[in-house]
Amino acid sequence: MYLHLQCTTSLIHQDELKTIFMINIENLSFSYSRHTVFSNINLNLEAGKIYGLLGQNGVGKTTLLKIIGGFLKLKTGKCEVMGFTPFERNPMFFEQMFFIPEDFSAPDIVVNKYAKLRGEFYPNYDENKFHMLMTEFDVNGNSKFTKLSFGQQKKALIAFALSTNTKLILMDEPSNGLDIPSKAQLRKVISQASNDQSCIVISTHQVRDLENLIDPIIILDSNGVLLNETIDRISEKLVFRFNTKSSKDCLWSESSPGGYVNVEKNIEAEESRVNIEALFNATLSNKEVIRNIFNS
Amino acid sequence: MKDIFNINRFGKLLKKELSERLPIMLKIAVILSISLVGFWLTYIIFKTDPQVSSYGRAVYLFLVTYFTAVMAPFNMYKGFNHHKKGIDYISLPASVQEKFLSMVIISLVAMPLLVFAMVMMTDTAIALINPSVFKGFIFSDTSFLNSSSTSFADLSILPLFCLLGNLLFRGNKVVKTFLSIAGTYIVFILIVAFLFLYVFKDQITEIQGLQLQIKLTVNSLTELYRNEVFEGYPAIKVTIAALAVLYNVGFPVGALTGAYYRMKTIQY
Repeated sequence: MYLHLQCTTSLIHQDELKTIFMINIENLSFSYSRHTVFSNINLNLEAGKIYGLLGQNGVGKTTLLKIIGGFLKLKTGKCEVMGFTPFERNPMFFEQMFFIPEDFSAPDIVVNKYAKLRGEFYPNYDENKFHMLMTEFDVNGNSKFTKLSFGQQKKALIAFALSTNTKLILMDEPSNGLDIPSKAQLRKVISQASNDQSCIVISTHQVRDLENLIDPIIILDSNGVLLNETIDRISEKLVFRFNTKSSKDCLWSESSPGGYVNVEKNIEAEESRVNIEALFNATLSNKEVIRNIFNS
Repeated sequence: MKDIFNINRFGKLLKKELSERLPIMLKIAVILSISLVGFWLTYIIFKTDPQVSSYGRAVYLFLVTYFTAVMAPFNMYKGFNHHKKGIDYISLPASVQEKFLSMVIISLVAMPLLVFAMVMMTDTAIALINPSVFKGFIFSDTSFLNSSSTSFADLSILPLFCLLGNLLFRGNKVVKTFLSIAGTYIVFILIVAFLFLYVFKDQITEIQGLQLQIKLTVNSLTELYRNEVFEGYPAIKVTIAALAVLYNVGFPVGALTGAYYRMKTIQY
């Protein structure tokens, strides 16, 4: 009787997990011929959030997005996205997922035509939203992609991606190539597009471009996921102080205009604003300490 | 089933593909039609008594249509397996089966048909303008078709291998594809030669002793199978049958299956 109850509980738990987590990655390993990118990583991403995927060059941010998007095949482990195995490339999966690559290779057609022809494949595509976003981004939809600048092409693609209203949007360095006003517009449209049903994963080096937008933060390194925490939990565990001096006892200290940003363990439940750049550097230079702080 | 093939979605895909690729399709068809006009003008200018038979033009029509089918995958789907360019197409919400079928239809049916129609129309126009040089109409001359003994398998092998090569190779696609085709062809010929010169050496010597002439080419295997000379040699007959099946069915189906498998498993 006891065993039976335990099994039922376990089943319910598994079922709940599937509904809670939009992306469920277990023991994922991946390598390019002899170069191992991931070894046994575990990661769960929930709906209703805008994840910031951070990491140094070459740690596998784009690779992870491509695995989630179904463009790369897993060597070992499991990657389940909205109940689908991405590499099976089920059309129902692609109806609910949009991938925005860092370098968009634009086809030689008019932007509006591109959106019209592709929009038909997405059940929740909203053409009015597309035109509204294009206006907001100040891109002429009657131009051919090839006549637009790289930044404008990217904005057009982002406008289309957000108009598809897919449950999952993967963005690889979306702010690259955008001018200063466009970056502000990007933050605005992404935050507007986010809802309880959707999940947006943004891989970026330009953390300042997307500060106040991304939450939770995922930090990757060559050994896997170093950190996957919400901003609230980060500020609960760590304190970011602005001082005129660099502290030697802190986890990380970096110069900032007018002083230093010091990252310390939050012992006295102080409130502070998370500085993502400092968090990133602190995590990379104190991997074990950070892991222990967040596991405690 | 909806995951594998949905007729509505396939219709949308075909519409999108045709709509996006029509400019390049028209460009190629116009270039090949202009070549015919150039051919006609050259004849008028440089020949004293110019006359171009409808048979010669039918050969031109056949060759350009075939050339189009062979080159279409490279022209239309060059970026499909490109690390960046390919993502746009593969992530489209349609099944691999639908995408593959649409690629086959666009490359091997729509594109050659368009070229065929435009070259035919151009030829008809020229023949109407200048009937003394361009005698007769292509569509009324079927002698070319009668004289051609080329089988469907012979015709389909090259375009299908090019479809596969375009998906298989990421750089220098055309060169690598044609080298691979040549390599496959040579290996096949060597196997055939080995079988006839070594494995069936005694039987072939016996047949030669009968002073009978046998034409042995890889595209005449079916003909060879029917040859009465081999009636008393079941082993040779079975081998020829197996080779004929491999050449006429195995190669085209293999190329098509390979291209589909490549599309299904391609990584970016």
